[in-house]
Amino acid sequence: MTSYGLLANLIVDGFVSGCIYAMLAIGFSLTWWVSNVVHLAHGGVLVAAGLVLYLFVGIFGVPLPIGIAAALIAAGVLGFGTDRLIYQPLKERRTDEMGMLTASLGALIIIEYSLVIAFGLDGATLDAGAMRTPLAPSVVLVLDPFAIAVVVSTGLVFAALTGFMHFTVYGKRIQAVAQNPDLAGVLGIDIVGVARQTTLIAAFLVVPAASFMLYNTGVRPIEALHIVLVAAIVAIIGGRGSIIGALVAGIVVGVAESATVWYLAAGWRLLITFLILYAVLLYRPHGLFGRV
Amino acid sequence: MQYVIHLLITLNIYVILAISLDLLVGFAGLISLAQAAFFGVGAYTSALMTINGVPPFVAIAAGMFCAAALSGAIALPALRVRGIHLLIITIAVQIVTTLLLVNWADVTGGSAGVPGIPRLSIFGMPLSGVSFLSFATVCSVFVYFVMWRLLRSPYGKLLQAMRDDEIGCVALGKNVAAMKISAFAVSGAIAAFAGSLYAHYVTYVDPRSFDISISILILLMVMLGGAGTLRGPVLGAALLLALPELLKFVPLPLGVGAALRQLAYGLILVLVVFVRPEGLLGHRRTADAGTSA
Repeated sequence: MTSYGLLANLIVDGFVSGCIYAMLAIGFSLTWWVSNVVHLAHGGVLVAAGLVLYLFVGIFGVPLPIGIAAALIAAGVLGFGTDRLIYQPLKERRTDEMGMLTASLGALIIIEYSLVIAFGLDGATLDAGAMRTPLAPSVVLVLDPFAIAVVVSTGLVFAALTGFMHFTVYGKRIQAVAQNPDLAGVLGIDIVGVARQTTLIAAFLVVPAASFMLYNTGVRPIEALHIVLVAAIVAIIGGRGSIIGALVAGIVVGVAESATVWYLAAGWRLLITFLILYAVLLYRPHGLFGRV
Repeated sequence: MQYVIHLLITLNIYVILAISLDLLVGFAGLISLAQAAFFGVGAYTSALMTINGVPPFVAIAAGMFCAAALSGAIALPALRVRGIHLLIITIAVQIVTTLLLVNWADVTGGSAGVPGIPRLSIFGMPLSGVSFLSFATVCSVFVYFVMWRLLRSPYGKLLQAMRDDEIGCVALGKNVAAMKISAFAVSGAIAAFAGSLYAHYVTYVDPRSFDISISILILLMVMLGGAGTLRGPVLGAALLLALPELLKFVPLPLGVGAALRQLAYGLILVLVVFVRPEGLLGHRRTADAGTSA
C-alpha cells in the first residue's frame, strides 16, 4: 500500500476512534458540569456496561437489543449507585476537593478490580462479523459498515443530546442548574432531582461507547483508568459541559493519535494526546468551547 | 532475617516517597498521581548513568535534577487551575512516563528493564544487607528531618497558607505560581532520590515498578496515615506494606490475590474519606477550611 493510502486509512480510523472518544467523554463532561463531581468511576461504569453486554450477547446468546437494554440497566444502576452511595453523602458532609477526588479514585478502583475478579484480566471481545467487510478495499481498507455505524450513531446521539438540552424543559433545567445552582433553586427547580437525572443520562451514555469498544478492540477491566483518563482529557479539551466541544475534541484527539501512528509506533499514541492537553491547559485552560 | 531486612529497606524507600507526596497533598493541597513517575525517573537516570561509568552520587543528583525539572513542568499549566486539572495532568504524566520507559527501548531497555546496576559503596565499602539498611534508614531520617525543618520555615508556612486560602495568599502579594512549581520540584526530587536508592538496592529496574498502581499506593499511604502531618505517611507506608505480607498467608488463586489487594486499596481509599478524612494521625481541620478552594 502506498504511503498516502496508509495515511487515508489512519485518518478514517482516527475519525472513528475520535467518535468513540467523544462518546466516552460526554457523560463525564456532563456530570462534571452539572453536579460538579469528578466522576472517575465513569471508566468503571463503562467497562461494566461492556462486560454485561458481552455476558448477555456473547455468552447467553440473546439478541443485541436485549443485551443493550441489560447494559443500560447495569450502567444506570452502577452510575446511580456510585452517586448515591459515595458522591452525594460526601457532598452533604462538605468534604473538600482532595477528599472527593480520592473517593472517586477509590470508587473507580473498587469497580475495576471487582470486574477483574469476576471476568478475568483479559476482558471480552465480540466479533462484528460481516460488519467488518471493507466497502472500498482498493482505497480505504478500514472504511467498513462498522465504522459507518459508529460515526452515524455518534452523530445521532450528539444531535439528540443537543436537542434534549435546548428544546426540552428537562434539558433547560439541567442547563439552569449547571450555570447557577443557587438561582435555579430559588426559581423552584428541584436541584437534587436534576442532578439525579444527569447522573442517569451520563450512565446511559456509556453504553454506545462500551458496545463499540466491545465489538472493536475489546473491553478490559484493567483499562478502566485509561478510559476515564481519555474521557477526562477530551472533556477538558472540549470544555466543561460543552456537547459540541466533546465531539470536536474527541475527533481532534482521535485523528491526532492516528497521525502519530503514521510517524511513530502505535505505543506513542497517548503522548500526542497529552501534548494537546498540555497546550490547551497552557493557553485555553477552560477548553476550546468552555465558558469561563 | 534476609527477608526482614528486605522489608525494612523497602519501608524506608516508601517512607521517603510518602513524605515527598505529603509535601504536595498534605501541605500544599495539590493532588498528584505522578509520584511513581518521578520515582522511576530517579531510578532510571541513576541506573543508566552509573552503568555508563558516572560516579553513583553524581548520578543520584542528576536523577533528582531531571525529576525536579519534569515535576516543575507539570505545575506550569496547572497554575491557574487545581483539583481535576491537576489530577488528570499528573495521571497523564504518569502514564506517558510508563509509556516512554516501555517504548523507548534503545535507552531504557523496554519492558525488560535495565539489569546489572552497581551497588552503592561508601568509602570503598559496598553496601548490601544490613549496611544498606542502615544507609537507607539514615537517608529516610534525613529526609524526614529536612522536611520537618522546611515545613517550619517561612516557605513551609506559606505553602500551608496557600493550601488553606489561595486567593488570600495572592491578595497578600505572595507568588503562588512559584510556590506551586517549587513544591512540585522539591517533591519530585525527593521521590527521585528514593528511586535511586531503589535502583542501587534492587540492582534492576523495569517499568512495572513505577506504574500508576504505585502512584495510587503512595497516595493511599499519605491519605491513610494522615495528610498534612509528617508522622502520618510513615505510619501509612508501614501499614500498607504490611498488608500484602499478611495477604500472603491467605490461600488464594494467583491472579485473584493481586486483584484483591488492589480492591482492598480502593476500599481503604473510600473508607478513609468517609470515616476519617484527616487520616489516622491527622489533625481535624475546621469545618469551613478548604471547602471552596
